[in-house]
Amino acid sequence: MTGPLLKRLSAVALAGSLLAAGGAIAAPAASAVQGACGPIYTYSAKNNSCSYKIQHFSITGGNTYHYGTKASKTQTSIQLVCYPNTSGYGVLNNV
Amino acid sequence: MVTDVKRAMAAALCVAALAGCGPSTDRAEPRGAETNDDAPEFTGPWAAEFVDAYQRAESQAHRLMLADGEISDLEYAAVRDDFSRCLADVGYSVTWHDRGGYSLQVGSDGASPDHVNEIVGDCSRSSLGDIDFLYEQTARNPQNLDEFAIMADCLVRAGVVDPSFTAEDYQEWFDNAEDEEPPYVVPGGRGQVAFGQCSTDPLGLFG
Repeated sequence: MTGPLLKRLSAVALAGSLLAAGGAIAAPAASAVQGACGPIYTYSAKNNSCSYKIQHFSITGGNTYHYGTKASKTQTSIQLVCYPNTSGYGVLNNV
Repeated sequence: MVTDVKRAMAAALCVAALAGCGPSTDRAEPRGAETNDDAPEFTGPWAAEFVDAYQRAESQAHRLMLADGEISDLEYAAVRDDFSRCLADVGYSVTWHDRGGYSLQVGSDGASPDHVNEIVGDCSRSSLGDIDFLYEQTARNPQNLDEFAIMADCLVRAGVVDPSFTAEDYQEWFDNAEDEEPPYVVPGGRGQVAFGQCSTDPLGLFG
């Protein structure tokens, strides 16, 4: 994988499963991962510093990817749907 | 694909003409002059973002969509359809969510996240560009008001943070990497639900 490509791609955290009950997400098990533009959480990511947009993603079932809202600087990319059993999450940069 | 986009744009223009649409005060309206990068000189609350999007656009179709300073419903639908086709070409299936974002079935468990995201990123830049983002942002915040202020106000109106919560408080939270969530004063997921609603409709414009 090339350097420029890596810059555009995600910081991926292969986290453990999360819990969800009654549509409310339980306390995230993992702490923030620092991405290129700001912290990345289980269901959201802040764009603190990048002029380009970011987009949070979650992975469920190994072959389903869920992409949240796009976020420019000062915004948060979030998942608007609760996905149980998230096996990984991260951020797509420069979308 | 470009032909499809042009057809959609032509349809949008026809709809606008038939509707007798006048210029909106919120649109990033272009004037005659052009910048060094051949972008129209946009005016209005979102002018800077339209200039940036125009300069970043990877296709003439996207530049044409941006040139009038607003993104129509049909243009928004056209780029999303184009994005879905781009991913369908590699066997991925997109499901759009009403409230924002989308899910993607990638077919097999073997694909690495970096591989999937490389494809998604390429399709996003070539098919969506900044069109979808500008459409959504100009709808949710037509006057391009301060993000921290409108989010703080919205969370207060939703009753999930203390009534004294200000834009400065929101920024303090935003700049703190340790806290995923603002300081909610309500239990369970109510704060999280409100945050999602405020993110998509901070001014309560969508009813």
